[in-house]
Amino acid sequence: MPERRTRVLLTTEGTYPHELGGVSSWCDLIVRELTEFDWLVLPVIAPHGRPPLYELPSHARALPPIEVWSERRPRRERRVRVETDIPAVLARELLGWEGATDAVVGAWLRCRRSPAGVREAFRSRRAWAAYLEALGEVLGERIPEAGTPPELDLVEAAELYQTLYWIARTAAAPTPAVDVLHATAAGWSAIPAAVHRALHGTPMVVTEHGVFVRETYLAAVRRGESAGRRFTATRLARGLTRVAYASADVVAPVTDANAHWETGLGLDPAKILVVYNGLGHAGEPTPPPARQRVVSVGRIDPLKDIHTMLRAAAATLELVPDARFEHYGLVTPGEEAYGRSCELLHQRLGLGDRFRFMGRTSDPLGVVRGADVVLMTSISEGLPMAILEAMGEGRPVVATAVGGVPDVVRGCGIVTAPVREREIALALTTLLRNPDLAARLGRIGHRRLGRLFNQAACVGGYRELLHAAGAGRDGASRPALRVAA
Amino acid sequence: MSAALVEARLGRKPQDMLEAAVVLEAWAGIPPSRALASGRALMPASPDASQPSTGRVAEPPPRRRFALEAFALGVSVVATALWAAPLRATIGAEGLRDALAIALPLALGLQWGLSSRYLSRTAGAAVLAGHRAAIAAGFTLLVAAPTCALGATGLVAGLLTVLWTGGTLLIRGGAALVYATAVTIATAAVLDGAPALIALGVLAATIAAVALRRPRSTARVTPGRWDRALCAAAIGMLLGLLLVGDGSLGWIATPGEALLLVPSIVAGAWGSARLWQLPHTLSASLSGVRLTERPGALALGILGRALARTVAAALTLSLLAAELVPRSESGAARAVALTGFGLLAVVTLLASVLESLGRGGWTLAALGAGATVEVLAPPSFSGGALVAGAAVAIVLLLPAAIGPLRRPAVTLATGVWIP
Repeated sequence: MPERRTRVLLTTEGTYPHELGGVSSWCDLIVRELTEFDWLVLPVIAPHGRPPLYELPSHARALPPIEVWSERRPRRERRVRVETDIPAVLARELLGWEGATDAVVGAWLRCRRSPAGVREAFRSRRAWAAYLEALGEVLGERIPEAGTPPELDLVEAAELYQTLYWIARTAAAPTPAVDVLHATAAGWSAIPAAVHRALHGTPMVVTEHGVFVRETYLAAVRRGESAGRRFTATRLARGLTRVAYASADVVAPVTDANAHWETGLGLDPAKILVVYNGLGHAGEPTPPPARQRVVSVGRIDPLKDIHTMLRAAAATLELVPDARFEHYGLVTPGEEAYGRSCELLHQRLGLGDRFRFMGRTSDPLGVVRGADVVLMTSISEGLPMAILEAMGEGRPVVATAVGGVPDVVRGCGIVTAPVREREIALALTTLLRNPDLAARLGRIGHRRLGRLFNQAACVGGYRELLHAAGAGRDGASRPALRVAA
Repeated sequence: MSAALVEARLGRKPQDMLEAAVVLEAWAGIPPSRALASGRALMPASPDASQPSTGRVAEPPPRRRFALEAFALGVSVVATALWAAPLRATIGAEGLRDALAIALPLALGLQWGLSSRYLSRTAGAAVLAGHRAAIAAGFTLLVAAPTCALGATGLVAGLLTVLWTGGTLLIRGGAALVYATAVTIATAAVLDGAPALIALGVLAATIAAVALRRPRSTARVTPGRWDRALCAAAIGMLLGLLLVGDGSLGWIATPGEALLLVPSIVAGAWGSARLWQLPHTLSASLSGVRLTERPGALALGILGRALARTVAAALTLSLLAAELVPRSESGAARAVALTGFGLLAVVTLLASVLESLGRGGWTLAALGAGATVEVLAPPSFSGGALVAGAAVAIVLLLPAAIGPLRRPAVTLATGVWIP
């Protein structure tokens, strides 16, 4: 009798297979390369009516997405259990600084047992009243490191109530029988996995590309929302992450920098296994074009700090007037105002054709190959593929010291503090005026990529991890997952 | 130094240690291990006093072209009234009565259903325009089915349904002027002696063709739920039934009487002009209100003003219509008919408020009760049944609309935002 293949449930949020981006590329790589597993992909998305952008291979299947903030109602049930304390429990335990993660999972399990009851519960006046009371308790907490919560108003409270409803609906969504759960972030995508694990004891792996909490804080800071909305968004993210960490058997960050955040957020270091992102090793790099050309690849997004990139370009051009900058990438949906602000700054700095926004590229390796230096000015990163691609093409990198960047760009480029356009300009000038140094750093990067950040090692790491996690299926005793901080 | 940097970047004190750590890492390049420890150290040992937060609610985008849409609607009503005599001459008074009794509920049902699923959403009209095959099939079915069943009467019913439904697609799709122009030209031709049935057929075909050629949208809009659209369609049909359910009214057989509908339709359109702001007002009324306070009933004010405008306009325009429209019945009968139409405008307004609050079930029940009363009411005087049916519907709908608007927080949190 042939051995049954291990089934992996891959849960995603706003990424694979519906959106392009770094996390989606990673998901696609893992799913395509690990052919020995049967993949079931469960996306959590806001409805947008667009078809998936990725075609899944034959050993993978996309499940109907969990649509949040949609008008879709839960399926009807014969016996609906309406538990009106669920909103209050979620508010108290997800938002509370020291909320009980097991209480959250317990509430999610009740949602799962009666999905139709979730809607009925949240629509009841009793649930709203109990929720307001619980929220009042959270806002009354006084813990020094947690700061003083703001006094929310009713519109902020109602918005939070709605978000909790969609969290509960996500928890209520059915999940298929699988051998391993693999969430792609310690946020919304971890919710169905945590519930499944609590129900069936299935081992759960969480991969963190960025750090969900950290990115939520960054988004809240730059949006400039009211104190109440900032508080609820960040506390919810922290609550979801704490539950994900408590539920996971292994958390696999893509860089050591993320691991520091994870331990800082209370994750047991024994659960952490760093699996670096990797890139297919290219052949010998071509010589740089020697045209003073600086290329950047990435979304036009506040997290990428394009404003600093433009100012750094202007400062560089004062010293190297022949330099030319090209940025490849589109404006992130929802960040159109930021995109316009970049165009205005571009005009104000008088950059003209010396800095060009090139739009989307279907050949990121090709555009990097045409660069003398690759630039990245982000204020938040995990382990960016753009830098790995530069290393693969033997191009030196100037990048800001955020996330896993300093660990990657060790000896193969120049790392500067974020936001410091003069520092960045100095680094660019150094490399543009010293092509020998630039070429040497590029060669070091190419070798470093092959040694540490290669695709085979990345895929192999996950192969080993998922095999170990799935080894205990069908009731056999599962060997302990080998993890290392 | 770190504290100064964090406060300078944020323009305020950090919310908590994590926010401080994130700022230190992202904008000062401090490694996460140190940033977290520094962030914790930055927080005061004794927390500050809590500060009130106010969640601002974004203003809704202005509703443009409202006047043009109202004008197109008015043209449509007047044209329908003017078509009555030529159509009656073609298919007879009974035939026209039956045709309108079919077409009005059907068209109103389709208008409400399409509005719920597509037209009330941003770019919804353009997205609906993308479903050309379905629209073409629908128009064909709307004409073919009643024609097969009822002959010429069915044909008129089908063509009128296509005309009014297609007109809604054009009006909401930004082509109100095209619709009004086509209807005006066709009406002039009919009044000039052109065969009414042929003119109606050409007009309906033109409107359908223009509706089918509207530009499609590249935007992706998730349509509304089917069950809610069907409920809205049923509400529209019941409103249509209330309109045609009183057999004692002669308005559907004579052009002069049909013009008596104009005051209530104009009043309804004017009265409900600001109702689209209701969801925004509901949330805006909670902005800045603390959890233990009771919010003001701003949304109730919007409903009150809409009702007042509708009643005042219906009253004024009805008085004008009573004098200006040629009379074929007694003054009392005319007054009752105008009252019935005015009450129906109020019913429509209340039904649209309740449907938008997600209380479609109750609306259906109230309209069903009103329609039943109308049908069962003894035909003691002309229009009496319509007045009775509409009054019952108002009595049932009004408290159901006022209640939720008096409790905006509960309504928004547990109703509107939990669909």
